Amino acid sequence: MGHLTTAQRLFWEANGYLLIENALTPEELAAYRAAADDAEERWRRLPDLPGCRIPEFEEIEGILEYNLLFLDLLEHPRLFPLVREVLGPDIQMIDHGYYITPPGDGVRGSAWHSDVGRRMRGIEHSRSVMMVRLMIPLEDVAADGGATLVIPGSHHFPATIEIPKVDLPEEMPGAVPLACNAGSAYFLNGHLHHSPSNNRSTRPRRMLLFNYGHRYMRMWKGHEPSEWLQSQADTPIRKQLLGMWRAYYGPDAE
Amino acid sequence: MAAITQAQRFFFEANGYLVIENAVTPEGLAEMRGQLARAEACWRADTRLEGARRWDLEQIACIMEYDAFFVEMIENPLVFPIVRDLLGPDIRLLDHDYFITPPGATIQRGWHYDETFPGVYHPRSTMMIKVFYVVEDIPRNGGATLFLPGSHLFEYKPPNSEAPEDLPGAVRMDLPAGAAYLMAGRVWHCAGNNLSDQQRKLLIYTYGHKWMRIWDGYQPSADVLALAETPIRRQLFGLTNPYGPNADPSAGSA
Repeated sequence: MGHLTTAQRLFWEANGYLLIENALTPEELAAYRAAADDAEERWRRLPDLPGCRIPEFEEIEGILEYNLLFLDLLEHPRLFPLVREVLGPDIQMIDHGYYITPPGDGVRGSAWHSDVGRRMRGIEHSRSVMMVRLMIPLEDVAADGGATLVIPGSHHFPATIEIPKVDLPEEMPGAVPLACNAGSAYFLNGHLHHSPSNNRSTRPRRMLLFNYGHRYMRMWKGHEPSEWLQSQADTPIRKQLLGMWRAYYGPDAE
Repeated sequence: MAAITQAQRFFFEANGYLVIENAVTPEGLAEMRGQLARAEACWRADTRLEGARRWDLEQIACIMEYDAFFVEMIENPLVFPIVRDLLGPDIRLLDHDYFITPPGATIQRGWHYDETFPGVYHPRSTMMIKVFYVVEDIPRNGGATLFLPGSHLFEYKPPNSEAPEDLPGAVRMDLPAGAAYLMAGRVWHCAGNNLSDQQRKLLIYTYGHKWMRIWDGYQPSADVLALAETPIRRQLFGLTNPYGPNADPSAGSA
């Protein structure tokens, strides 16, 4: 039996993204927020830890390495089955992070992109599903609060379609801001054209990211699990998610 | 400048395979035969070494591990630039074998695709190209690989046949020693029945994209990895950023 409703599946196929309201309970949200705060404090204290540290964007790279709670979130029962259904049973984690977008207006129109388009050659992306990116807001994100912008249906675009050039990401024709509440989640087809937007609110956007792909794919550079994290892979599906499963042969993890 | 001619590209795109006559020089062929004979003797003497030991196929797996000659062959200047033109600048190596098909080896309903990966729209994607070097002349009844031309573009799974040679439209790679043939991973193909009195001998390299994991069991040893002295070889061995810039094939060692 599928986990997606017919309406969800139709929306996903047509638009290339899906918003899931109330994915986390208030208790779960509080626990993940506390774990994220701990990770952020450690990351700020230790500048050698990997990530992006520029004024308009901060990324705590490899968030799974900070707290085992995030490994639970990687296969959260109200989210993971949905992602697995649209990607396939050979699902594997590709990269993971914690994004913090401070208030400001430094994002330009050149930020529009597809995650897979230029990075994965050889694939007809308009009819393939190579990656699905799950985003989990830890604070409410208003439309002008740095919400992810998407062009609905653009995951079906062939490589010959050129995305219009705009000065600001918000000027893209047909763009939809994914405003969302803390505790909800959304996921995107890796070929969906999307962009961060400028955060014109007064508080940072805080977002956990888990990017899933197929087990025959390599992980994002720097996101290979540490020995400690590998030691926590105590189920077949966790082994597969962390790339500790055969790449091509054999059955998928249950 | 592209190494591939327009006629070669057109043929490959239309048919899913390509024959390269004189893929190795006479001197190179003599050295190849000598190196393969040494590898075979080593493999027969030590049954712990990887590969298949069946009545209908002997596979000396991971042939690069036997001598640096087989590492050099990855970048054979008569073949590699053509494969790179077809596959793209993000090319990497996925597996490498020496196949010996004994006289009398037969196969039933053996037609198949190599590429059946989930998530990919295969009729318009090219994930892998396999290169077969012909080590000894292959007579018409000598187990030559059979292709169904154009089947890499099919939307449906083609039929099988009891004897490989009975599939309508099949073409066979009964080629002289020193030739090579390239195969798209999605072309419908089969080994032929070897009804001759000679072994069919093929040196095989499979190339893919650097975002793909290496084939299970083919992770290079430390000795082979030590031969990754140039950017392109590092990429071929999977030692570069899977989603980052591609190596410059003309760049030498640092």
